[in-house]
Amino acid sequence: MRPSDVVDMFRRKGGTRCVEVGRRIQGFLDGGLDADAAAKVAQHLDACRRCGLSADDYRRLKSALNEAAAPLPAEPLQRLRAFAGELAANGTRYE
Amino acid sequence: MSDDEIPGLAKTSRAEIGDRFDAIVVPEIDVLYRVARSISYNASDAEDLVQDTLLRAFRGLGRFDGRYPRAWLLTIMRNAHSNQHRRQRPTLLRHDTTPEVDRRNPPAPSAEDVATASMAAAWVADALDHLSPRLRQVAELVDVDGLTYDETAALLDVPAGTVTSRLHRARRRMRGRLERHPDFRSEH
Repeated sequence: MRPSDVVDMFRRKGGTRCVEVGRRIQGFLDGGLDADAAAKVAQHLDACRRCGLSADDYRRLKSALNEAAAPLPAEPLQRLRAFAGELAANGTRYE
Repeated sequence: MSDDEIPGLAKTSRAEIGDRFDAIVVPEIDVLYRVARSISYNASDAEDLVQDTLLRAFRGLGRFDGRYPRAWLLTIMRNAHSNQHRRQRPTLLRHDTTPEVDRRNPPAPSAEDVATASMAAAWVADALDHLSPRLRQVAELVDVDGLTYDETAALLDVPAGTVTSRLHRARRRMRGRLERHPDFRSEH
């Protein structure tokens, strides 16, 4: 990162500084900010190319992680569902 | 007390408990098994852990207020996991230092699996592998398994703020690693 980039991070774009958005960007992408805070972050992301790219990176990462979930093997799930069915029907045997 | 009543739970019939179990617990079996695979050494331990969790949930259902069933079940799983490992080996929840079942690196993948796995998936697996076990576990539970911050906190027995900070740190590190792959930004 160049010195000018560091200075740039403390400038306001879209009403908010990059450093503030950097702290909130993940909460924003997870939908964890209140409406007012989310609107400020969104405004900044529209105005700041670097933070916009950063948000895109996190979106890609989240999407790739979400896709990384391997399908669950069927047999253990069938056994567990059968066990649950047995509990629901005759659970007092297990008391 | 009639034959249909559960001992210790007056006026709660066996059928009523069975119905509640079907409505509250059974829909969560897939999630419980997925999480169990995240925190267990092997598939057999994971299945045992879910079975133990289901049994404990059944026994505790009469005292459950019906709110946040997944978080309730994950708390039960945490306790079951602690007991399981107290009997077998030190617990990996909370004080873990060793990665467990590696779901993204299963043994002996088929040639077809290898051929069809996208580069992006391989990079993400690599980025996960380079996290500390503690950060990796939170990233897997939230971003791969789909638990909320609160559900993850219930499972790990840590404050939700701890989950948030670990998760954000994990993602920052993974992003830093992925930035080294020149095609990461064009892959999606």
